[in-house]
Amino acid sequence: MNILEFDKVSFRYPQREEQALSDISFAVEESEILLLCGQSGCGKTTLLRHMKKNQIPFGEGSGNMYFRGRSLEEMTDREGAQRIGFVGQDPEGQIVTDKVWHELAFGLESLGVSQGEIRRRVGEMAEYFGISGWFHQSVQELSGGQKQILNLASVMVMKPELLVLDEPTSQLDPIGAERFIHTLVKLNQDFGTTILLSEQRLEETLPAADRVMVLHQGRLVGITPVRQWAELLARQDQELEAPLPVTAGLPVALRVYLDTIAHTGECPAAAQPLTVREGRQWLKERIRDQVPEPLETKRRSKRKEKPFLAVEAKELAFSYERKGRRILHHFQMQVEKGSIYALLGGNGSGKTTALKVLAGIYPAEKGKIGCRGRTAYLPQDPLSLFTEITAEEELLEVQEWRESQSQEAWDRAREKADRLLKWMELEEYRKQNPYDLSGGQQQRLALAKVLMLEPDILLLDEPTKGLDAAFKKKLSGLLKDLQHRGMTVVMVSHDIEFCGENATHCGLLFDGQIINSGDTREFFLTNTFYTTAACRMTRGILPDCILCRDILEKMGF
Amino acid sequence: MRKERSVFAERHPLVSLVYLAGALSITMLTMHPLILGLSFLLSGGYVLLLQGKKAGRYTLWMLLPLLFFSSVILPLFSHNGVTPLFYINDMAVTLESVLYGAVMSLLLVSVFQWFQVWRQLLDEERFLYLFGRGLPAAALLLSMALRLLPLLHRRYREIHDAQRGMGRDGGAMTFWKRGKLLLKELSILISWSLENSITTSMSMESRGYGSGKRTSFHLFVFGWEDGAWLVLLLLLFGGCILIIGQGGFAARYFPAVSEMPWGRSQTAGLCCFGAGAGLPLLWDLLHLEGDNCQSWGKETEE
Repeated sequence: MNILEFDKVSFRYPQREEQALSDISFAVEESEILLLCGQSGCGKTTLLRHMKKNQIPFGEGSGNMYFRGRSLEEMTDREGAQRIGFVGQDPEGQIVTDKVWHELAFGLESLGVSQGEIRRRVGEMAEYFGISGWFHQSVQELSGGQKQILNLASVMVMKPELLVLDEPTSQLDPIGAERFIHTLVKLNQDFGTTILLSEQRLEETLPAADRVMVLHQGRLVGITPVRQWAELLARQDQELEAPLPVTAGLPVALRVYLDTIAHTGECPAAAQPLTVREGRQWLKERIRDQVPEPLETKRRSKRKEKPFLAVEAKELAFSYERKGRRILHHFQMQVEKGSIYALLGGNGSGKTTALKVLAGIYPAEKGKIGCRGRTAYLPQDPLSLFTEITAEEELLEVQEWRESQSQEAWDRAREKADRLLKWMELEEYRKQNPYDLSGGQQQRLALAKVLMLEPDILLLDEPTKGLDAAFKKKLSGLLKDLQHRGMTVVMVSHDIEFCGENATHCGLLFDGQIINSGDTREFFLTNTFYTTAACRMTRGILPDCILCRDILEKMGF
Repeated sequence: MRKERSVFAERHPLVSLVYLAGALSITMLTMHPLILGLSFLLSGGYVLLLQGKKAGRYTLWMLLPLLFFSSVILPLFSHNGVTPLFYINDMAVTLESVLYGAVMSLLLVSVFQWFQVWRQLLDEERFLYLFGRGLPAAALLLSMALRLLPLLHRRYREIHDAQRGMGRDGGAMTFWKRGKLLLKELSILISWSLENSITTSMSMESRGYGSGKRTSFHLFVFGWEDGAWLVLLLLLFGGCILIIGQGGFAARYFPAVSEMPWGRSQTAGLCCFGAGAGLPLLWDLLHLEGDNCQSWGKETEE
């Protein structure tokens, strides 16, 4: 029996011409993990909001939703709260109370469950989710990953039959995200909880899901078992006549596989590779009959002439409190002019702090920083920049702070703002409130605002956080453009794949020090664990591959 | 507000409440110097134990001016009493006034210290559990406020950093521009938090908030040890209060310092008070030394 069914559901937001959802029909089977993917702004969130009565957005809707054969809209709030759990993307905003134990109990308190019963269920859940160690802590002391696990646990404590998750890992670092996905899979296997989740990060989620559903511009493109992705692609290629934006976010193994069969015109296999392990097996099989090239990595000869440096940090040290723990120490960094430098590192390695020190936001305690040119810093959360009511005014706000307030200066600023809006593809949104833009659009607007300062060195803090593959592609185009204009970019990121593709140089920050740095290619080839999936997939099989397209090139396509 | 782990505070909040109420009321019911001296020593010791040296310094800075004010300055203007020490402008400065001032400041500082202990033993959560049992909404509100404040603080910091990253350095600005920047930062903070509060209210609603009557969950358990503590404290403090009620510790300072007889009942009363107010302190002292000795030397930062 289907646990949830949608019958011709359409929805339109007030004062919008286009349909946010049009004519969507599908069913969720009992105890499956159904993955919903699609570009940001394609209606994923709107669709997921329709699965819980109290979350259905305000607007014009038609069609019916059924939960276990009963119309969803007939459910009482109480029943809805108990039977359908919802976890959203922002770990911080969903937490209501100050203590971990209280947060866990919140839902049960709302339902008026008795003291003893709450105690039992909260204890049980804390144990299951491994929360007992931080049960008494304040929520503010938790990491992003822990917060999201807490959000999940405080929903699970109400024993929902269906769990709906809206991009739950988009704000987490890779390790936190992986842990979260593992927990979901375990929940599904241990209790048979039906899970419906939307996700941008397909590398880890796709292998965990049973079926996948693709949404494009408010329409349902298809719903298929995960290992038959190729069929889905073939189907929609005819329909849309363009590759679906989500394909860029697929796991490397699947991407290589799909491109290969597209080139050779083979029939897709029944089971298509999803994980690195499966990719390796498939690749080995594939190139068995090809003559293997020498496997050593070619070392590029070191350049003799001294490069022109844009940023140089020598022996930096920094700590937040006097005599406190040193966040940075013996921090050395050299960034050539016109390069894109990616600073990688785990949670708490001091990446963001390093960037803020380079930007001059925090004074260095020791050591020297040399920046040739003006720096501008783009914070992790674009919302921390926005003050105005329209996107256009947001950019012009920068001019308000300039010294020269002449008519001429304003004209120039207006012209520049126009150019930037066009470049960031935000022209049609110029009169919109920045808060009403999607995550990717907000990020672009924030970038435009920072570019209004006409910096020579751009410092980006996690520019890809929470963004989909399509936007990442756009961002990498923007970065290349900036590089052509002679700008130097330093970014801090968790996103190994993005850095592998776009950075010219990479550095690995660990415990406040850069422990490995160099040319991107060399950097990823010498790392064993901290490297791209393509590199892990081809190690010992194909030489010198760090990107999906390297593999295809080596295979002769 | 950082806390040293007090073992006694881990007891049921009712035990802490009885302890503090007992110690406070006995301190305030009598002007007997011995009781007050003991109360001062015990409360001071407890504050030192729980909050470290810094708190002790703080008390000292409060005690000394108070002592100076009430036993040096006040007697200059208040001329009650019969034993003149010396005359200023033909007005007597009396021994009684000086003594009364000293005892009074001892009382005030003790009460102040007991309230400091109160803050450590009965935090907001425990307090609300004791006094707000019929008010689950208030309990939730408090919990939400305690969640929000650090969040706002951190968010403001992020906004401030972002503005500095755009080259808006408050230090290098004129007064008006700095004000404008502050307003901007606050406006960002407000819109950001409002945006965020939508997520929070959605999360509350989807977990059944407002769907019926709420219960208020807490982690406190009343065990037999708590019962034993409660009985012990009630007996000790009760005994002492009884003796005070019978006038055993009556002390008058005007017009002349009354006689303060000392007998069996006074000894018993003092012992009762000392034991009641001192046992939790001793209990903590033993356990803290066993568990984390370092908390002794550690300076509290906040």
